[in-house]
Amino acid sequence: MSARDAGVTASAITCRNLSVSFGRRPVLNDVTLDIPAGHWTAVVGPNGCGKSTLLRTLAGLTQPYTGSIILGGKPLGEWPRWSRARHLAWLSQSSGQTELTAAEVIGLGRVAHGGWLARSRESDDAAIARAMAATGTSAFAARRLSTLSGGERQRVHLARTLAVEAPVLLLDEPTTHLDPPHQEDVARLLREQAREHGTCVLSAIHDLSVALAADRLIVLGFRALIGQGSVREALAGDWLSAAFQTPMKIIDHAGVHLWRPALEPPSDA
Amino acid sequence: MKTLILGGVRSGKSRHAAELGRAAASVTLIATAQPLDVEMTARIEAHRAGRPAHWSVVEEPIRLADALARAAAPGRTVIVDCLTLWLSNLLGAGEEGGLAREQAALLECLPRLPGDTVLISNEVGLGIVPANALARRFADAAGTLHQKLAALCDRVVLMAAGLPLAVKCLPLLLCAMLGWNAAAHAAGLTLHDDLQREVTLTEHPRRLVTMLPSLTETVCGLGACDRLVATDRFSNWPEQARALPKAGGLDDAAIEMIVSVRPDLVLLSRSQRISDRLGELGVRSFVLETRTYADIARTVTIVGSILGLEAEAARLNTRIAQSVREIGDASRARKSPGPSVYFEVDRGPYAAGAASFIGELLLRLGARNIVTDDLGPFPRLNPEYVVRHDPDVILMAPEVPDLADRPGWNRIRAVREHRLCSFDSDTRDTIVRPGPRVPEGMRALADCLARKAP
Amino acid sequence: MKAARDWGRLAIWVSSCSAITAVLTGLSLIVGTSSVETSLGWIFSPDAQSAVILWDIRLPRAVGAWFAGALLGLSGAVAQGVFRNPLAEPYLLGTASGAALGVTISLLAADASIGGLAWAGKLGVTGAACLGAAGAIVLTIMLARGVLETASLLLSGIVIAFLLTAVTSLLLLTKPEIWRAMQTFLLGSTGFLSWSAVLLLGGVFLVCIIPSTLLARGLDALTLGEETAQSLGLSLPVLRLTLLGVTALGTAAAVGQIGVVGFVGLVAPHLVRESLSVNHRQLLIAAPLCGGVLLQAADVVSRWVVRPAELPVGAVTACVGGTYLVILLWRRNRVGS
Repeated sequence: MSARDAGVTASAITCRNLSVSFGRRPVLNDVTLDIPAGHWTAVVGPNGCGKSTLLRTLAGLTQPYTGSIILGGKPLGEWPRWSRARHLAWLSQSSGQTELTAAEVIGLGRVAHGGWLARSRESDDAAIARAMAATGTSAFAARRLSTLSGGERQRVHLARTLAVEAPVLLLDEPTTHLDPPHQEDVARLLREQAREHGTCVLSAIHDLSVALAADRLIVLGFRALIGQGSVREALAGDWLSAAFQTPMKIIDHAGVHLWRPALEPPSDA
Repeated sequence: MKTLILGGVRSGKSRHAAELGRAAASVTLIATAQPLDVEMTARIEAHRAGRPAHWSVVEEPIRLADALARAAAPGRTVIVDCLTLWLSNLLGAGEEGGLAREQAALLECLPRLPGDTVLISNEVGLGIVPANALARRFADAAGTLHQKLAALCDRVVLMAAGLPLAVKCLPLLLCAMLGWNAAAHAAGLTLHDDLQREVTLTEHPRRLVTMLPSLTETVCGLGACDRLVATDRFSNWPEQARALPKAGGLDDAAIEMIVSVRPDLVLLSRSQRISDRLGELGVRSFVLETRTYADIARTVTIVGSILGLEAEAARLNTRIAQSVREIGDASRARKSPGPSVYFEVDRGPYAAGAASFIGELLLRLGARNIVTDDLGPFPRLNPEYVVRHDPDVILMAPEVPDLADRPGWNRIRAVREHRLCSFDSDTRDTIVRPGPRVPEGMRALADCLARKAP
Repeated sequence: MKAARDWGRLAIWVSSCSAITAVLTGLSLIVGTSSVETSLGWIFSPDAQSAVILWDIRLPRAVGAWFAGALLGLSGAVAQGVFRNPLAEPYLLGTASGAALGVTISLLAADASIGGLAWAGKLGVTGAACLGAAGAIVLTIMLARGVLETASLLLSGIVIAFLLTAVTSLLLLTKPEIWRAMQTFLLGSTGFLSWSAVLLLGGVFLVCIIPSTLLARGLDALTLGEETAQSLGLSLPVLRLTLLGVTALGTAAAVGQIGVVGFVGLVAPHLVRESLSVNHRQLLIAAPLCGGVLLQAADVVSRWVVRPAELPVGAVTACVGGTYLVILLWRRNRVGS
């Protein structure tokens, strides 16, 4: 709550002049961002603009980068592995095939708190229970992940990231595979997570209508940052049309922003 | 093919018949002996022990024609051992018409029998005319029967001192294979090789390639080393062969190399499947498989006829047979009963069983192989088998330094008392190569047994 | 409550595996070159020779086969976890080919007493196999430039296996006499397992099972993907190196003692997964038990079928394992269609 009151200046993650290339192909070019705590920030942009790469780089995974990334006031590279894993939880866009049960997967979110060797403690069990409750996954906790539907699986993975109880959540497409009511649930969950726990929630989101429900937007175009700020600022600056390189029509329906496709209605309507 | 083998007492008739039967898919022996007294029983037992285990035996003292008709089949060799006893059984039965009836039945059915038939009989008419009336009648009957049978048979062999003498021989090619007849000198020698291919040679080859060490050694043993133009990689004896161009090995024969030395004939082993390819390239080849001790003489004879060196082949065979017999006799005389032995050809442990070539040599040396012939030539044993059978002597092809470290093996008598032999690679060659150097290999085995047997 | 049920099923698994092991060990004592009645007679009234056969040959053989199978089962389960591939097996990193080359060189050296190779002859087949297996893994890891890239590790393993096999074949061509001894090794043999081999295998098994089960949660995390595992705080290089080291050590020890016995490492973890819903801690306990039972059974079969001769134990496991995989595929295809 306090982070939110302090305003946008209380950055959970900052990056300056961040550039990432895959081989000789630049993916992110000179991106400077301030991502505040206590807000849900959505990253939007066309396919292949580098949303996932941005999240992975901020999570300290994989590729080398130039520029600087500051996590919680300390350069990302200086974080010890375990404390970074406790401070920052990451949800990948696709998860591997696993024979584990839902409960076991969610339990893995607590690994950073006790190391590989420790058996689970009460605090872990409590965190796991909270994460399950928040995502509605308790019902199938005992089932193998491979037997769950795509949506259920996605919620289990979300629960696993929540179970870390990290101040920073980086979520790559958390609403994919979900039907509209569950998309809404997740959006609500992320908003609450930011508002009530002061978490910095950063999510790449494909679906514009869900993304426009976030507190803030980071709009990426090809290779360049179009803008970052509140949804109102983004709409005022028409950043989306710039990012997608085509006019994007957004309608305001009693404060709820919706993207309207420029598609003609079906002829027999 | 019908063969009649005649000969005196212990002239090697049965052994020769066994050699004739070796190539057959199956062999049935019709034994005419009746175990009427103790001496006869002992003789029958001795014969039985000398016979390969896979032979089937039918005992028929009287109704020989019926037994023959029942036993004969395509691809099978039926051996009758022997007509003499059958005749005396008939005479002894006292039924006058019986002898005439059975003889007629035999002469009538013989030409129609499928497969090969080998008839063994004693040549009894060589001494003075017997004084005893029954004996005279017997000699008369045998003589008459032999004449009639000889007319019906393709081959008639007279055995003398263990050596076959061809009295009648048809057709020429088989006789040539058996080295009995000089007719092979005639142009157009046709032979069957061990792939059952017919190979016709218009003249004896002058440029020869051998693709197996034992074949190289056979050719050189016949004094024809100078006809070799190339050999396989492993032919390292004699010195002269060592210097020749090497045309690959067992599995990687260098066809290009073989073709380039322009041979008249290539001698191959059966596992080298290059004869078709060579044929396409216009190179004649002959496949020989030498597996058993008896095959050695066969190979020598065939190679002899191919090279036109029949006399040399006969001499070489006699020399080999004589040496083998001498070494065997000397060894058997030294130790009786012979030691029990285990021959390890490879870790595994793979043993040389009684059914193998090495096993045959050991048997001739009077050793008792703990690996019986029903286990096959080179079985892979459960190691505890060796511990249980506790051999007196262990022979190893390559030395196994950690033999005593094998679980339980330090309890084996041979290991405890250091009755172990191993052979260097040159000696090993003479033991495992079924060729003219087999007496050397056998001597090495005999030396081992002489030194190590308890 | 759910976890309790899972551990309960594991307990059933463990106890039934132990029971089968006990039965197989008993069978091992009475199955050999002698008849069952004779063997039973020996147990109740042994003489000096039969005591040696029972307690110095058959028993260490049974126990050693169990440990070797357990090592292969463990190595297979670990390899499948590290490579996140259910078809991974212990020989994936070129171990088998390296061991075969080592054995070939040692046989050549023992045979020909080639000057420079005398050391290889002294090493013995077991040592040479072990060294060859370890060498192959080092080569594979060097070629893959570390352990981080799964794909390059797998590819390097295949390349190294091919190269070493080619060298082995070339050496065999020059000296075909050692082919049969080579084949013994390539098809596996439990015949010469002694108490000292049992001690070695048992020691290695302890050394392998402890770090594996301790790192089981790491393997669990790895099933979610390498990046996810990393984001959970896992050090991929440390985990990989340790676990690949375990696989390498376990496989090299087993291969050194019993030769290249296939399918146990592949099939044992599959059998466990078929019957248990498992995380890695449970899998790494159950798979070795299953591998031990498999190899022990194969050993009994190998010396029973053609007694007093013997079948190569690897051929038996290949028959059983191959059949099982065929059934598995067939069932899966049927479910799919």
